Amino acid sequence: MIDTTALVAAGQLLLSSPMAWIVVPPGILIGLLFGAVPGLSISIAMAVFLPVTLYMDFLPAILFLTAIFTGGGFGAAIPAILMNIPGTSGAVATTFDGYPMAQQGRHGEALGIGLAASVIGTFVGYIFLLLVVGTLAGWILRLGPTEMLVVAVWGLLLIAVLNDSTFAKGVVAGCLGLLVSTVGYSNTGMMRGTFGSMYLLDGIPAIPALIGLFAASELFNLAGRDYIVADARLRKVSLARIFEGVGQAFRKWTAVIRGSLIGTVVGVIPGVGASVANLASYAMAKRRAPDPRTFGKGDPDGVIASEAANSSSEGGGMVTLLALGIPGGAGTAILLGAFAMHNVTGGPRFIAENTDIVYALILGNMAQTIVLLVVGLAFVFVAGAIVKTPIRYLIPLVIAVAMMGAYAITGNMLGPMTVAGAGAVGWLMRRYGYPVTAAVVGLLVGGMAEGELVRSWQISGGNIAFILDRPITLTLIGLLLLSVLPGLIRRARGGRKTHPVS
Amino acid sequence: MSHSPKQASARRSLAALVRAPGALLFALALALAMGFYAWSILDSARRTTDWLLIVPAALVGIAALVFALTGDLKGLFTAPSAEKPAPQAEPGDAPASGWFSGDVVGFALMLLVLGYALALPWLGFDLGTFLFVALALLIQGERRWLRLVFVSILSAGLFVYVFKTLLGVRLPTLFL
Repeated sequence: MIDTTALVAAGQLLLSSPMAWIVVPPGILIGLLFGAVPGLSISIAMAVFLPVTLYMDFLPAILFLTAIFTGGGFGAAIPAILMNIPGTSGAVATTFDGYPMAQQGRHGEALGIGLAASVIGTFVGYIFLLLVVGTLAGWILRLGPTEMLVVAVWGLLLIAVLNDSTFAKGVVAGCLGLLVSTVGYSNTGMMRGTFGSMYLLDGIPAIPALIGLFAASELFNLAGRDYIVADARLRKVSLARIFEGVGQAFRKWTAVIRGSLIGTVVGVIPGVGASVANLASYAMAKRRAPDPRTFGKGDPDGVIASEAANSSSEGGGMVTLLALGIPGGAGTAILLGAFAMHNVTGGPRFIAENTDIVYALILGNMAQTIVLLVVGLAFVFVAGAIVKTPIRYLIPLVIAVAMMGAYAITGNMLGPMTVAGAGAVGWLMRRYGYPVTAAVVGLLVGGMAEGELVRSWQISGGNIAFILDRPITLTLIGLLLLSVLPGLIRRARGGRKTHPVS
Repeated sequence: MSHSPKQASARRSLAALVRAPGALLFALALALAMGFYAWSILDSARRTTDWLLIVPAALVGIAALVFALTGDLKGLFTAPSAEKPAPQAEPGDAPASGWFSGDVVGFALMLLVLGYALALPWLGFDLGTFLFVALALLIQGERRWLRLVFVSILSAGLFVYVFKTLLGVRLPTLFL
């Protein structure tokens, strides 16, 4: 299951690269910050700081970005508990019991519980990844081009189905991303969609496009909507109470583990991540509780369920990203962008050939949870002041950093231009309900999908009946239909009824 | 918020009406772009593999756009209030003032960023960033001038210093 030689090598790799350790505390801090400020999201943080990793080696670069991911998971819980405002969509369920606890004066305890649950949750998610990644890669390596094509389409479709917007709009966004990815000089030696511009020979730069779609467009959306936090009462936090909460979470370890396992499994599925994991886990904990009526009135188990699940979904998402090379959400899409920036192609071949690096990534992420515990504790005390920072100041500053970062990546004005253009397109997409995540994933897997499609075509000689001889492809298509159709039918039937009547 | 449900519903239906032409135009533009791209590729392709991904993706995209649009329009005519609120429309973030001011500010900011990108080759990152931050704060309603100028100068200077001197990126600049 685990390749022990590679594991030892991974340990040595981690010990011999100090940079991999130095970048973690700042990463966690950035994640805590962006998670804790309502409106700013973890994907904005990861997108904006992606260019910084240009100057790092692969391992520290990815550890830095996953540290932002990890920090953001707990950062979002702070305003959720203190002010009933989830810092990101992953902490919605944290408000259900976290805020009532704060109203009862038990906010220190709630923060401690949330922190411990986040730490254990992240740890469990990565343990799962460590256990399955090698085996999974072994299987996936045996898949041929037709199978990989089905897997890529499957991933895209799941993101389209499981999104908040309609299925049709998800498909539109995915196709848009695929088409944009084909701009430039193709593998078959053809110039596509460049309009004769030298700049576009290499295509639309994926990372500035990703920064524009994830970060800039969301920041435009935030403008003019100041969150009402100025009048929220901020409470004094005492270290003793936090430790009490941490202890309480460790005593309720079965609940933490249950939440973590739910989060991990939900995280594996493309299209859903922390934002679904926390709600699913909360619902499950409530259903299995001896007295469900205590939920929503300040039950620590509610905070545990939500925080353990939103943190562990990170490790689950990494399973899909590493094994298949397909990102399931915004965070893993940015990681795939970072892979590309360092000329690494995610997927089974990478795992098989660089098992030590993959294990080092996983071990590094497990070690990060201890850093999260320390940095997160310190952060709780300053969080009150940070959360009150007016968002209108943060918006232009974050955009300015993103533009400079984009210039650093492309080395010319195409980078900033792409950020601005993709930001505008992303803003329109969000406004009219098209999921930007599907577009970004389409953009990132487009090259792989086209490659597998062309290879399938060449092997089969253009004969579609070829797939009838490939049982695994047929099985995968069957699974694809099984996983996508029920959701579609439910939507078509209940679409009118389920519209929120607020 | 102090709005009655009736007011809120009227407000939503009006917002949906205002959005409808935009949704139509956006979908149309997307469909045209996809169609034109696929057609131009098909026109100049020499082998099947040149268009193997692009043409099907464009066709699926256009078909899905038609579905998406009928869904939008149906929602508009049958039950205007059924329009899903924007994902950001959480209870905590009412528009600052007026009915659509949030959207207008967002749109203005989007144009400003496009202008920032286009002006960068001439203004450089130092002056360009200063002007961008100052104007962005102005658009968002900041009227404390001293603070506005201070933040813009400080951020432009600091960011250019970090990227140019610390990270060694050759940012084009005017003064710094």
